[in-house]
Amino acid sequence: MKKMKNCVVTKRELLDLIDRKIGEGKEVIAPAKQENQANFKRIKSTREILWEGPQTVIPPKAFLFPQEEELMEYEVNDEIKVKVKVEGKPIILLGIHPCDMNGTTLLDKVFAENNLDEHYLKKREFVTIIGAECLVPCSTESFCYRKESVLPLEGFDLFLTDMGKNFFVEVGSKKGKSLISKIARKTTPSDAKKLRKIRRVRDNLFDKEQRKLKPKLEDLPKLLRENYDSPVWDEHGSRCFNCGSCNMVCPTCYCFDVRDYMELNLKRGNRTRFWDGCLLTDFTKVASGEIFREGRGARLRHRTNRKDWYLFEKWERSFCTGCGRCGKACLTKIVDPLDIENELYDRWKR
Amino acid sequence: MKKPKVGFFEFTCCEGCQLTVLSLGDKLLDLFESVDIVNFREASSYKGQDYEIAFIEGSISTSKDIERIKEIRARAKICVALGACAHLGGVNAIRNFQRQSDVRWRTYGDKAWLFDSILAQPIDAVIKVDHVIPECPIDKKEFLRATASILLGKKPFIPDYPVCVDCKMKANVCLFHKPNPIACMGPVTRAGCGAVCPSVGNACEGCRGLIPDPNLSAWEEVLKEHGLSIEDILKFYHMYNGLMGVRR
Repeated sequence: MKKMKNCVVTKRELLDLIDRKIGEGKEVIAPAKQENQANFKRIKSTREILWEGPQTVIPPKAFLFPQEEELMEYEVNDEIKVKVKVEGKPIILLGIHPCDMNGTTLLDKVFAENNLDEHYLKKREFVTIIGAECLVPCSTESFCYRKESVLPLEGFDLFLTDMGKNFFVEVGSKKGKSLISKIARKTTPSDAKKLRKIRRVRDNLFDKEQRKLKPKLEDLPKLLRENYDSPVWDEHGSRCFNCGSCNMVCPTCYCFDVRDYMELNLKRGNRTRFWDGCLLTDFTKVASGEIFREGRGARLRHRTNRKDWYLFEKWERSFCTGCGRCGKACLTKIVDPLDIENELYDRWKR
Repeated sequence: MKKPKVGFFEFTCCEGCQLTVLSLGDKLLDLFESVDIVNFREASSYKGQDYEIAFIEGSISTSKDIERIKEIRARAKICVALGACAHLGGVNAIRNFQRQSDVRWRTYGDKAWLFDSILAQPIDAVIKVDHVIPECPIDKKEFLRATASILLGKKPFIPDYPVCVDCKMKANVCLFHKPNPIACMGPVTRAGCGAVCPSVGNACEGCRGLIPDPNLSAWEEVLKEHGLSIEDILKFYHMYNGLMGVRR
């Protein structure tokens, strides 16, 4: 993405602008309170937005890669008629945290690799992402600072940093630029200085509050490669439900299952995809009934290796953004990649 | 194509699964167009005996049931267990964990000698079952999809993963994580219900049965951490899954 000029807007003007868009019928989705946690909801007013956390239960990937998505409909008569469903609608995703923007950027790469996933890409085309910088940790589980994910790489249209009365705005696309063209003003050297200070304070705070990652980030693939047979996997695995919660809530887990459903008349049917996850026992079950990744530890290892070894090496970036959702969701507290990696590291060094 | 003949049969149960079929609305007409229903007590007094597919609900709980279900099996090409009672023994099996003479007396009073009731069993304890449509009562959408699969000669898709998947897909706050946590059987129970109970704040009680490889020790550990006693945990099991491990 080509870097565009940053700017400054007053908070009031930006929020009024969004509220006007909502009034005109624009679908704006933002994190809002849900019981003692949060979730993405279509908001009626920007006052509903929960800017600082807690983290939403599931990441914004659900708006690009829905839990259940019909890919095609078909009709089987004398001839077979197929209607592929590639649909998108214009929505604004607002208040997205950097971990989730980075997660989305990684999904963008994956779904555009080799066979273009037109279902994802069509939705992506219509989505406007307005991110918001986190200045306090959203939860005790998050460790984004350790995964170099406190700032977004790319993949946003606008990225806001709270500077008191104003937002400092990084502009990531023409779509973002045109959205705020009427209210944006040029940045001054003092804005830039203020931003640097805010980020320095934030870095110190996150460094103090978030759990440490003992190995170096760039050494994770090596750590995992050399600990493929570590007893840690089965020790953690023995308390794994294989419930797949870690997969479902992960901003970078993108596996899906495809099922065909016929109607009772056996003439019409649809092909639908559903979120799937490598922690689920039948993820590797084949038609003849064999499961070729047996063992809870082996499945847990596979997920961790995907995040910080296989995909890390392939795309040169960790596929764990440190959002902390899996660690929160896991009832037996066995899945958190940072915990696992620290444990591997401690035992490995001995 | 000739319409396959279908019968619905009930053993010990509330017949709520048959009522679920009757409440399919427009889709019920689709069902009538796709199959020829020859036996369906909740809907018709006609009792045809020439069916190819038998949908069977209820648990086996008298010795007469055993004879009757064997006759159904002998006539039908395909037997489908419908709902938790047929699939798991259901709530009827709670009696199996009580003194049988007490249970009979409590139910039938001084007429108890008239009833030859036996321990409640799922139907696959007596006959070979080809397919299972789980839940208490069955889910309409799953029934329609499973029936279409059976008509196509395919195995219906019934998930083997836990309810947590459905719950996360709904973006629910986990019951264990609410300000006042609620103990839930979701982590060891088969999904497919759309997490219907947790979504309204009620614990999953396991009506779709345990998944094939439930991590029960981990689940019991979590419940104990939440202050539940062994008795509380047993109550969870006995609600729908008291017969696990006893079956076949």
